[in-house]
Amino acid sequence: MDILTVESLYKTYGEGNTKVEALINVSFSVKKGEFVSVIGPSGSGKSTLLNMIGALDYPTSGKVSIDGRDVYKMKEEELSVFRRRNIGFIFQAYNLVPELSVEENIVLPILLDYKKPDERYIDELLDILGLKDRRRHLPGQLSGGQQQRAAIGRALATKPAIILADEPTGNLDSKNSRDVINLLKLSVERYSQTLVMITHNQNYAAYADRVLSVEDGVVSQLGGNPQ
Amino acid sequence: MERITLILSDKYVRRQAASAALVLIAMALGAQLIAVRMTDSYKKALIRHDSAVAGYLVRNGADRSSVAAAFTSDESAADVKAGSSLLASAGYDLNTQNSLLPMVEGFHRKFAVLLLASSVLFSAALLALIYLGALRRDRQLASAAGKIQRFMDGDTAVRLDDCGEGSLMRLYAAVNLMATSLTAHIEKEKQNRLFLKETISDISHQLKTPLAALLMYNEIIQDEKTGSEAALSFNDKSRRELLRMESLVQNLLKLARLDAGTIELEKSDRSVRDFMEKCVGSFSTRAEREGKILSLECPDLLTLRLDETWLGEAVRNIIKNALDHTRPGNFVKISCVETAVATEIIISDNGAGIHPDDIHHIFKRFYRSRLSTDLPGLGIGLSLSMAVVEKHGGTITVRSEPGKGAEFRLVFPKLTNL
Amino acid sequence: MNVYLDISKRYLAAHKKRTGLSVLSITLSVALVVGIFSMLDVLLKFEKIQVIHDYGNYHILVKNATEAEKKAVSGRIDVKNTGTLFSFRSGSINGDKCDILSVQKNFAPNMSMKLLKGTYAQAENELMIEDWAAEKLGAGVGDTVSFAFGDKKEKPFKVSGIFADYGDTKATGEPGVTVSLKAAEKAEVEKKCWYLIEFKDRADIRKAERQIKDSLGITEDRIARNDHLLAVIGQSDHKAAVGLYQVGAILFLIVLIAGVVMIYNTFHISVMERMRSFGLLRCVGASKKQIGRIVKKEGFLLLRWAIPGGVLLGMAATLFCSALLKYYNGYMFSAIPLFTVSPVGILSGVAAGVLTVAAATLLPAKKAARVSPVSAATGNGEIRIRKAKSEGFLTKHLPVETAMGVGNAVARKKTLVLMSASIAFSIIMFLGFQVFVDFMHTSLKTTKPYTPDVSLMSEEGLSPDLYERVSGLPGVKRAYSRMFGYINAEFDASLLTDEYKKAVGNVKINADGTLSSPEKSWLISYDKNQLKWAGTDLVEGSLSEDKLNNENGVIAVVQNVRKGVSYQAAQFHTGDRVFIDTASGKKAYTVLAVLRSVPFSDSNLNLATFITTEKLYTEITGDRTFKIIDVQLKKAGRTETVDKIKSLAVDNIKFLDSRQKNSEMNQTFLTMAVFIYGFVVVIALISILNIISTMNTSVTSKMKYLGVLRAVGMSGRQLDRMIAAEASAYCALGAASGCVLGVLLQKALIKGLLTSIKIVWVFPLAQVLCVFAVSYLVTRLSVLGPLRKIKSAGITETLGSLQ
Repeated sequence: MDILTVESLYKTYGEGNTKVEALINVSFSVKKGEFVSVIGPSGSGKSTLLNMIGALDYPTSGKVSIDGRDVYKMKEEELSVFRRRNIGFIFQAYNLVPELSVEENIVLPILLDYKKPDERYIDELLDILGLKDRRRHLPGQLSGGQQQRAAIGRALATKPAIILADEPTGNLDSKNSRDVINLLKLSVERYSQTLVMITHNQNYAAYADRVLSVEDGVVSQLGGNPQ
Repeated sequence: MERITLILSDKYVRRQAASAALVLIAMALGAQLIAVRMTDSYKKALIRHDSAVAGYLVRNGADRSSVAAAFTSDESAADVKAGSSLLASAGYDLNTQNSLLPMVEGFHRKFAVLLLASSVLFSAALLALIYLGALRRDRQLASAAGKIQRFMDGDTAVRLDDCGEGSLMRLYAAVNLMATSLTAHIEKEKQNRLFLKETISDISHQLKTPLAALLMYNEIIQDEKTGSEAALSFNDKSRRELLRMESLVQNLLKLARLDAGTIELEKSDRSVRDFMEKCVGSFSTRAEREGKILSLECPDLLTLRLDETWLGEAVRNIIKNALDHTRPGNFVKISCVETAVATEIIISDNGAGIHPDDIHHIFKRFYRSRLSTDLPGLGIGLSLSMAVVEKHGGTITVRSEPGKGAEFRLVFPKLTNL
Repeated sequence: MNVYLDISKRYLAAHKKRTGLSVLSITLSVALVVGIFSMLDVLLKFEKIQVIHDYGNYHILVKNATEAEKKAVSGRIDVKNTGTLFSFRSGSINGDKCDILSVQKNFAPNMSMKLLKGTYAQAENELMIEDWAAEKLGAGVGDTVSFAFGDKKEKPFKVSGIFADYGDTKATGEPGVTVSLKAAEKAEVEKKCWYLIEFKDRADIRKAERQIKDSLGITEDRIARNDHLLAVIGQSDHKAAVGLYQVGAILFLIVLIAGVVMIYNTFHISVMERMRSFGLLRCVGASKKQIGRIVKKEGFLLLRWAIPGGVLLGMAATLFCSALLKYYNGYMFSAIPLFTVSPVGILSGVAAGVLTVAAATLLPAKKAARVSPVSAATGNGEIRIRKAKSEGFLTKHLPVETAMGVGNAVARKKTLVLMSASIAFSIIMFLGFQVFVDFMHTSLKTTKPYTPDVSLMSEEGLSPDLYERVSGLPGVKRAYSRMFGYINAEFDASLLTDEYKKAVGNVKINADGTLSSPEKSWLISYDKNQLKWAGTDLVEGSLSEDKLNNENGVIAVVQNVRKGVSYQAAQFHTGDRVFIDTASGKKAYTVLAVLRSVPFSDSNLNLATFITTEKLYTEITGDRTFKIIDVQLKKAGRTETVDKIKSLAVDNIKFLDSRQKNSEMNQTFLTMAVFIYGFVVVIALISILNIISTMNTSVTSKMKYLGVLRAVGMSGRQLDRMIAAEASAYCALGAASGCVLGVLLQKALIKGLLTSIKIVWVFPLAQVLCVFAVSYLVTRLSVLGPLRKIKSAGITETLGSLQ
């Protein structure tokens, strides 16, 4: 089933001669369990697209549905709760809360939902992420790769419908990058996650089931199975 | 503390708690107001009483300023003692009945009523609040149940409104997750079945061509009058096997299609008699040839909602089966009956019958009795018939004794004709 | 961590220094409020005792009450104690002039009459005298003295008892005699009969007064009020009292606002620098409400330590102050417990703390909640690119780093306003409180540089020889002399105050509008030194001996003392003409200066008091002998010196001992001083703390920005200068606006509320300079710490900092 549907998405910034058309008539859908990667040159609108999907920002026109729910029809409060339960984010700059330990960072979305974290699941996650012996360390005491892995853990913690990753390996060296990508692919398969990932690197893009290319705001499909 | 934040994250709980708190605060305030009124009332009564006493004393000659001082100066324990013994001798002490002290009576009555009224009022308010809250919750749950029902009935896009805080919302979120998961599974299944159907369809088509070719070659070889006995016999044998294969492939296809659930029956009201005559008619030649008696008994006005092609197939399979298991001189009797609750088609014979060991398995596909290994047939005809009859809302029952024949009943309850 | 709100605890724990400063600020605010109320409580208690001592413990009185009236009043439920008091004109005892009083025995304690020896005067011929008078007259309990009312014949009276000294009478040398009630009733002289009434605590005195008037038919003119006591217990309409309350309320509000601004500042900056963090939380799924709650909880976690700390600190300060006061005058203040807990004070302190934090966190919480999740993704929130309006005006005139610093300060308008506002507020408070200091210095009688310890006085005049001898005594620090006498002065009748008209009764007005004085006026001569010292009490005009001599000038005095109560007889201004009967006829003199008061009082009832030079005095009265020699004693050997001086008081020379009176005056002053200076110290502390905290937070929030600058090539010293420039900009704006507003506030407060006490507003130059200096110093010093940290840290560290 289609866990994500994007219909006729437009995003324009500014007016007159400072007008920038970041996204032009973008439509596509993603099935549950798919791994989609998005590539394109910088400034092409990739991050804007991800922000739209994750409802971090509002489009000029168009519709995005996640798990059958139209995200732009929701009110602010509802959207926060929806995001909490259904969307996981991974950014390029790790974005962990510096005052909390690794484990606390990972369970943060769960706590925000007033739920008690499932000890077994978290242990399993930490194990897979290779952070079991670092669970009580603060982000300041971790390397770049470890921080990114912690961010992945946080994205997986609530078992969301869809994970959005914006250049997750952008700040990492090649070894760490490979680890991270492998981890992502593993979790996609193991937990039947759906993942939309932006990347520069053509090689990593190839790990995905499908590749979308963005150029000057226009999205097109590259190879892979026909939609 | 965290428990409290947890509970209060739910909007419903928050609202209930807040309104209950309001009612209770109002109650407390009300109680305080009553206390004020009581104090006022008491003060009024006290001053009135004191004034009356003062007036009386002055009227009876007491000195004005000492009377005033009596009320304005501080009380001394000695005075209290002296006074109370004085008044006690007049019957005026703590043990005096309230009915003799109108002021006290009045005070009691007034405030008993007031307090009763206000406690009733606030209890009513609180109960009303709880009731309304429960009502609301009930409605919420009913609406959710309704949506779940819609999902079960087939609307797979329905989801519960779970974008809020609170334990109910979290439950709804879990339900939604479950729904998504289910839908994904169902879709997967559908796709698998579709895939299977197409595969079977493909294969059968693929097989048809070589089979047709083989049959043709067979005929050609037959026509080549070689004069060899062996050749002719084996030619014949191969032809029979080929035909068997063809029928098998066809049946397999049919079964596959039935299995995939991709068959749509086109039912219409038919005269049973006409229908049966057609079915039986196709076997009359064979029955004659084999020396078996084929009879049909069917009332005129009987109708049934059926798909002619498929049900015909089913009925013919059973008749064929009956013919296969009878010897020359046996009969195959076909009759139709209408009972109060059902329409029945009965196919009975007095042939070999079915062994009691087999009788429970004959409708399973590919089942062949150990005792009939030499007879043609692949064992799928009956299961096909069963599937079709079941698709018509009916069922097949069988009764048999070895050596005495078998009776197949196709029962179509009238209710499903609706 | 079990609940998402624990994140607040972590935030606070991770920034210990900032948290510590914030907690300290709130603690001080709370302590200040608790202190204000507690000390006000204590102050009122002390003041009450003081007032009772000075004016007597009664609330209202009825003049010439009949027996029936007395009985009716004393029978009232709200009346605690009543008593009759007779007051007479001066009489004589053993030939010496004396004051005469008679007080009903049960009311004597209310008038601070403490019987030391003997019994209370009961019989018709019994009287009681003060201890020092007994010593002077050489009379003890049981002895007989010759006593006369007014100018009647002296009769023998028995001294039945001796009571404790009164400072005032001791200073004037006229003993206070208390005759028995019987004697007073029988005496056929001019006397005032007052029926004094003391009400119970919490009685509604005004209502009671009205009831008494109505039910007994007593007219208004027969009722008098003890305004001083009524003011202290809060039941007075008297203008000065109300004015004080108002000033107090205003200052409380200012403290509250200052507290809020202070905390808001810190919070605001702390929230701003965490915008990206909040954006991240929003991405992770925190709703707006949850983020708001996180920020608000941070505020309340601060309260957890600040409130108890503040309350304890406030109570400790109050304890310290009351201990100080008790130490200095254990006798009078022994009744007050050392440790007073003011529940109102504590509650208002807690309320102030809670309100402060609530108000201060409200806006930052809202701001944090409104953060859009995109900011976490883009992460450029810290270094904002502003729309530059004008190009490089500053860089043309100042070195680049200074220009950047100032530009930074000016560009971020909101921060500029906040920082300057908080500095300004502290300064406004500081200057505002100076009003109280001024009030205290001027309205309360204190010892002045020229207040004498003891004096020798004679109506007939003292020889210069005596003067030499006295000043030559080893224990004498200083001696100076004055002439004084009584004159007939006439001036424009319209200058008389209503107060005086009421006190004296009918006043005759001449045809030319001047009044003909029923009473004489008091004329005093000042020498050059005394004129100089009098400058502190100058209200109008100038005090120059030469000018006075040349222009026939006199100096008018505003406040006179009449029967122990200070009042204002006439409203003189410079330029008014006064016609004085001199030795050579009536002459016109001009008022060249007006003084607020003089530090001595006359037992006579005078119309007005005038001061002039010795030369003019001689001209007017023809007298040139000194009437009084004032002596200030050195610390050592006082008793010997006093004895020596006493021995010089022969014949008509009177010896006046003002020491008790002086010390009593000082104590009142000290009470207030402790209270007020205590405040000023705390306010100064708060202000300094505020500046430190804000500067600190401001610098640490720019870590990344500064890191970038260093990477680009700015040296440590240039960085210093840039930050200093920015800090100076805030400081300058804050100090300037604070001083302007504070001075205006001072002016308004003084002009509006305290002119009745004749305080003149003078531009507080010293204070303003002090303010500027201190704020500049503190500002500079406060940025040193964080700057040092930035400079020593590696550049990449600061750039890559996760803040």
